[in-house]
Amino acid sequence: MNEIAIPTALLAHVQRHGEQSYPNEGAGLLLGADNGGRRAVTALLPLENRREGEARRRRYEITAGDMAAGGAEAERRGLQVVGVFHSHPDHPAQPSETDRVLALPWFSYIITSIHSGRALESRSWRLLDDRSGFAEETLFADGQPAAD
Amino acid sequence: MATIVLPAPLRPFAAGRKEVDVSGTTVAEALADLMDEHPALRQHVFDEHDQLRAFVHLFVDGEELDDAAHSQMRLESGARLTLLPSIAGGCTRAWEAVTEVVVERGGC
Repeated sequence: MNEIAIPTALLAHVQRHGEQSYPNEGAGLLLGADNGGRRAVTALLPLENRREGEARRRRYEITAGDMAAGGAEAERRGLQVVGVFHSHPDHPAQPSETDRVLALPWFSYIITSIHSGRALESRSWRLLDDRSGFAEETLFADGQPAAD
Repeated sequence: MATIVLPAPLRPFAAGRKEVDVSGTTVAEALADLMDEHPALRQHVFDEHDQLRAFVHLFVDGEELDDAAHSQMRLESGARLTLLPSIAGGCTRAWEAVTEVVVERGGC
């Protein structure tokens, strides 16, 4: 199983971002380093959900322009974009079919389940190379698994 | 000869390369040459109808191309064709078993 490590303080920030975005979906970029599939997140780039109106409750979008800016910011810090975080309001921290269809390979997708405005759990996933589904990766927060 | 610049998530499917020199005089020909050289890229760049996936955006020398008009656009020698993704998702469809664990079904 692949692994991704994130400081507890940053994971808490991810979850707060999801809570503050509720009942809409919130999203942002994970910046860090990849070492042969083992990842370390060392910075976050919270972004505005570019979907509009009611669609924000069930969809999120980060534009190509945001990605270009995020990549430039990561490079400026000597990092790279290693993935995306987003929230699922009142739904599990697991990828949906929509997530699968629209997913990029290689990226880590940290999904936080927000129930009634409170973060329940965060889990991380990577798209399988054949795009048939996701494999969960172990999410470590300060060295401890972040989910059961 | 043009150069295609790949985003990090696609590089593992192109032998780890950030840039690939391609032949062809149009955007479509350049992309076809890229797919010929690195066929593992195809499923992530094109959908089952051989259309560019919605999250793939094309830029030539920094200017984004119109999706509908891009394919026959001529590429000057030395042009840089950049593939840049947008990111999207959400829970608009019923949950499916898309993970390695059983996913609870239900509306979203």
